[in-house]
Amino acid sequence: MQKRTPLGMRDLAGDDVRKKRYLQKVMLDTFEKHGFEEVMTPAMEYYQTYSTAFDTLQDREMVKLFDENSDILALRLDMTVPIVRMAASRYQEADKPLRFSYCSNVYKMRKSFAGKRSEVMDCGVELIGGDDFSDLEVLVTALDTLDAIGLAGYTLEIGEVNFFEEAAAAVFETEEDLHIAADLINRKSMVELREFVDSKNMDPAVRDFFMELPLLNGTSEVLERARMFSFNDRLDAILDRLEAINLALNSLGYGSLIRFDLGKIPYLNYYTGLIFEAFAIGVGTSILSGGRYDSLCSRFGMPAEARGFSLKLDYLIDLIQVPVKKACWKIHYPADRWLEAFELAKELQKNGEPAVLSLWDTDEIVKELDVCL
Amino acid sequence: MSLRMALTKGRLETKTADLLEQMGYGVENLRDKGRALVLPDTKNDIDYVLVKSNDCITYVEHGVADLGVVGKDTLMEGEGDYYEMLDLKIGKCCFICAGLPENNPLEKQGHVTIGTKYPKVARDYFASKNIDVEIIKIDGSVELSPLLGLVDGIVDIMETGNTLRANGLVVFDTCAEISARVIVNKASFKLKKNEVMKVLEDLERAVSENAECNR
Repeated sequence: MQKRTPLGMRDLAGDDVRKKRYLQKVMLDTFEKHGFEEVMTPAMEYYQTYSTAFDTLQDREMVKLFDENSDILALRLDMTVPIVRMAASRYQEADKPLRFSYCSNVYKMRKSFAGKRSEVMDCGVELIGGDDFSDLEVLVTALDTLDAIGLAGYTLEIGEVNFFEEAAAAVFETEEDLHIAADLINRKSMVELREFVDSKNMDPAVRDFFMELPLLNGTSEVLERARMFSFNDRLDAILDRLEAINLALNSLGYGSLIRFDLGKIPYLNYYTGLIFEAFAIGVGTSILSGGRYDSLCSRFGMPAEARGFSLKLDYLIDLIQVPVKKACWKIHYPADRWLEAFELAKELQKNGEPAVLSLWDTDEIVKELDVCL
Repeated sequence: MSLRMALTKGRLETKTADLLEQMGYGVENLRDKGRALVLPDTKNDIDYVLVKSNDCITYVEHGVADLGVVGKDTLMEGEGDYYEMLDLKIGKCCFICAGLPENNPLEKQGHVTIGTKYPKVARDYFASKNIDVEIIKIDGSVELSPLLGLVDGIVDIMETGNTLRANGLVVFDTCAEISARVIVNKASFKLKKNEVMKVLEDLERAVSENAECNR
């Protein structure tokens, strides 16, 4: 007799389910207001779909199965890759931009006893195709979603992977050095980063740039500070673009929520430009993440700009109030009057009032307002 | 906003308290702690918690502690998502590769077996040398395993080297230098940046003052 759930999986009931459904509704409603249409994709994909998407796939995190032809299948790791696959196969010729939203479970094998979930609900949007204002559109959608959830305190932090890549291209000769530098900066591993840059024969200005990069985070003042360390026109141009985004978000009234982190460079994924993450008080990890991922579409044979973000809904459950539970009629009835009781319940339910039946040792039919479980 | 800081119990805890005290933090509760597990700073809005080294990473990664002080050895052996921001230059020692003088695993031809408490560190070290080794996890005195002929060599932490010498083992190479590091939860660094940076800057100042004194 097996009564346990697999590692990292949970049964949900009661308030947790109500909160989850509430959050789902809030998010999908917000996405819809911004013109995104919900899509659903299968829980399983071919393993090859993911190896097409990523150069270095974290194989061990995938839940793998075999189909009847012995092809390897995988439970989806995220929703972005399946949606890009779908867009590339069914919407290749469609008018762009495409605006898709989703709210689906995604799967990642977790290590034993680390307290992490293997199944989480991912809710987000993908905007495929676009124009000069599409970055802003996606950011605004993300900010409006965070607002709609009604969190107590949160910030949205913006980065730009090209800021590192432009600088690094001029300095690091091997792909390996590039990876090491990106990883150390992304993890703000200051001690090893210092050892690493000192071991490379660098121009002092460039060395200072890389040592400062992990610390270039905070309010929009960091963009000004970054100017002092920028060492070529292309880096200045990226700062100009970020400043324009900052101004735009300020004009739209989101200014107080915005932070920047130029040392945010998750190197081994598909982001190619602007990236962003949201953090909320009470959660130790980011609650929303997204960015621009043009190269992913090309990998599936549909060259196009693309941007998106997603929220890990399960991390938000503890941050929100339990939605008020609808009261429900409890109808107590004696066995010989069952027909009347069922008809009464049907009448109430038709009018949108929850009603539940309760066989009782009584002569009368009594209905009372109660919390029915 | 208040901070919670996880300190690795034992020597690192005492030495970290020294650094904090040097910068004027109220660490009296850390000195005289009794059975309490959560120890408030008497001058700042900081709670200290005393934890085992591996738990330090776990608590910081989950964000229930904003900062943690933990040895580089634990960080190298474990995995986790956190910022590693400062070297406190205390609790210094190193990972070494050692064995019997006539049997150097770095030069041996054929199958190499290594005994260690730190399988990941040993694997990474030999991978960096392009040597394929079989690793056997030992929980107690690792020095025993080459003496009994179970393994060709060991990867272990060395402080004084006395145990190695007493058993006729020699050091073939230093794999990595170790010292205590300050790790920071990612979300805490974003949401409590000023508070976190204050502690980091204070500690950094204490570390550099001590470096001056020792010069």
